[in-house]
Amino acid sequence: MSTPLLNVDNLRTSFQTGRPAGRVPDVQAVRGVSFAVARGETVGVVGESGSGKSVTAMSLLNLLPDTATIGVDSMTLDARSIFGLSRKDERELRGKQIAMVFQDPMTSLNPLIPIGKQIEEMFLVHEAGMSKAERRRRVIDMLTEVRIPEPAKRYNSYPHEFSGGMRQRVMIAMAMALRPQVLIADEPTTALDVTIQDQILRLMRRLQVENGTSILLISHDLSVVAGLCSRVIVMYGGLIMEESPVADLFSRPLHPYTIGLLGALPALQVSADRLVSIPGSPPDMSAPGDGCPFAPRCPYARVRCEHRLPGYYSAGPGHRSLCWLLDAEAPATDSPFGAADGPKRSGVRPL
Amino acid sequence: MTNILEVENLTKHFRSGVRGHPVRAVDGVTFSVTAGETFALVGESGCGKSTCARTIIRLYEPTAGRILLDGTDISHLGVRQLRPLRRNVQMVFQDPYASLNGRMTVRDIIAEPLRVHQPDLSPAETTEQIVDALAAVGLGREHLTRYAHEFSGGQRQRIGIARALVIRPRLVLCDEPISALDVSIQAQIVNLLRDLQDELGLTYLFIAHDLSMVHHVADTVAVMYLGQIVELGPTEMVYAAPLHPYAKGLLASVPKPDPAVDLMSRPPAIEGEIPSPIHPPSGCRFRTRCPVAMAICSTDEPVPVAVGDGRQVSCHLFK
Repeated sequence: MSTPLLNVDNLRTSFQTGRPAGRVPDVQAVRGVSFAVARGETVGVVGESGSGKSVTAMSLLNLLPDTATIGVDSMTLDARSIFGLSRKDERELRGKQIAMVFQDPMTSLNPLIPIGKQIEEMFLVHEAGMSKAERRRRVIDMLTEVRIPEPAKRYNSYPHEFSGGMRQRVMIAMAMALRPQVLIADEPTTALDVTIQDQILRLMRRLQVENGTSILLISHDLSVVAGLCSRVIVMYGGLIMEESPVADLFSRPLHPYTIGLLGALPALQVSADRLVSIPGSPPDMSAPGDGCPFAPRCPYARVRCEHRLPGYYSAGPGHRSLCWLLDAEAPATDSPFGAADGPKRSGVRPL
Repeated sequence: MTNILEVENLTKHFRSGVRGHPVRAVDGVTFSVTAGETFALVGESGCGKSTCARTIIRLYEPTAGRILLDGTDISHLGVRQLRPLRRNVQMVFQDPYASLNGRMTVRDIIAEPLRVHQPDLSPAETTEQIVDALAAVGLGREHLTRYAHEFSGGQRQRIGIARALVIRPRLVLCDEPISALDVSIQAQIVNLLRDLQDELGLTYLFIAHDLSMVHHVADTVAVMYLGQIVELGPTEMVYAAPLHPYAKGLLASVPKPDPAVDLMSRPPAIEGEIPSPIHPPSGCRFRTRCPVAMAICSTDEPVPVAVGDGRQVSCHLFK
C-alpha cells in the first residue's frame, strides 16, 4: 500500500455520563484505535452494539455531542491533519472530503423539505458560485445517478413519499454529490429489506468504481462485509481485535472473538444442530478493566488475559490480532487452533 | 401427524384512506402447522407476515377465512371463549425493550400470564412456576426482584420467552424474536429456543426476515409477497431450489458470508420496489417485478399448485 488516504493513529473517545464530571466514570467508547484506508479501497468495520465502531466514524468528522472527549496522536486525510480543525475547515471537510450515510434515512432527512432542496443544500454550502439552474441540474443528475425514477418530478417530493430504499438512495445522492474522497457508511442497509439491500450495496459499489471513492463500511453483518470489502477491522470493547484482508479473515480468523462471530453465522452452519454462540454479554465500557475486554466471554481466556492487554501480533501481510494466544509462550493445546493445527499459527510474530 | 394449527383462506384487510380500497395486508393465506415443528413465515416488510400471525392469535379480527386451533374454529370466538384456548398459544415479541414493562419486576412480568390463566395457584406455587420458567431460559431466582431495564437485550429476550412459556403453551408465535439482538446473542437465543422445543415439545410459528436464520431453524417455510404465500415447502427443498421467481430472487439477495463471491458477480436479484397493498397489481402480484412475467400473469391470478413432496407454488410457470 502506498501512502494511505485516511490515516488514524491511536484514537481515543470517551463520554462523560454524569455531572459533575468524574463523579460517574466516563464511558470509554474507543480506546486506542489505529487504521488506514487507501484510495479507492473499501474497508469494513464490524462489531456489535457498543464495540465503538460508530463512535470511531463519528470521531473522524467530529460529529459527537459535547459530552465526548476525543484524543488522537494523528488523524490525516491526504497527509493533512483533520483533527482540531477550525469551524470553517471542518465544514469544508464534512460533505466535501468525507461524507457520511447513516442507518436510518428517515431520521437523517428533514421531513418538511423536498428532497431535491435537501440535496441542493450540498451545492449551496460548498459551491457558492453555482447558479440556481446549474444546482438544479446537478441535483437531477445525482438523482439519476442513484436511479430514482423520474428525477425531475421527484425533485419536489417529500421524504415521506419515498420508500425506505428510495430514501437511502437520496442519502447516497447527497453524500456523493460533491464527489468526496471518503464515504463513511454506518449500517447503510440495516433498516432495509434484503432485496433492497442488494440494490443499495450495488449502487454503492458502482459509484465507488466510477468516482474512485474510498468507503469505510460500518456493519454488524459479516456477510455484507464479505461481498463489498477488501479489508476488515473487527472491533470489540473499543479496540481493534483483528484486522485482515477479507479472504484471510474468513479462512484464517485468529482472534477468538472473530472465530465466535463467524461461528454465530447461521449461513455457515445450516446443517449444524446448534449455532456456536458466544456466551455472556458485551463489557461495561465505563469500567473496561486492564485486561482483554473479551476475556470474560472467551473460551480460551487465561489468567493473564484478565489482567493485561496483549499487544498486536502480525500474521501475514495486513493481518494483525490483539490476542495472547498468538504469543510464542501460549500453550497450543488451549488455543482455538489446537495442537494439530500448528500451521495456523505459523508466521505469527509480535508487532 | 396432527396439525396443531390450520389456516384456511385467511384474509385481513384494514381500512385505508382511499375509500373502497382497503389495505389488503393478508389476502387468502392457507397453510397448516404440524405439532412439534417450526413453521416460518418469511418475506419483506409489508408482505403481511406479522399481520398474519397477529390475526391467527386473534389480536386482529379476520376479514375472511378460518383459523383452526387443534381442530377448533377460533376465527370468530369472543374474548371469553378465547381465553381457555389462549393458554395454548403464547407470543414472543421482537423488541425486548418495548415488550416488557419497565415498572414491573421480573416476577410480576412472568406472573401475569399465570394470574390470568391459573388464578387459583397459591403464591408458593406461582413462585415455583416462575422460577422454573426462569431456569428454563438460563436465569435464576436472584433475578426475580429486578427490573427489566437492569438487563441486557439478550437477557430481556430470555425474560420474554420465560413469560411466554410459564403457562406451558403448545404453540409459540415468535415474531422476529432475534432481529433486535446482536449477532452473538442471536445465536444464544436461537439455541435456547431449539432446546426448549426439544424439552417441552413446543411448536413454533416463526416470523422472520433474516432468511439465513430461518434456514437454520425452520422445518417448513412459507414465502409471502404482498399478502399471499407464493411458495411453501420443507425448508431444505425451498432453499436448495426455490421455484417461484420471487422466492428465487429473495434467496439470491441474501449476502453470502464468502469473500470469494463478489457482490457484482451475479445480476441484481430483484429490481424495483414492492407495490402498494392498497392497489396490488392485477393477476399475479409479483408480475411487475418478475423477470419471467408472461401475458397471462397480468390477467389471471395464479392458484397454488402442488409440486410433490409437500411443496406448493403459486405461479403460472407451474401448471
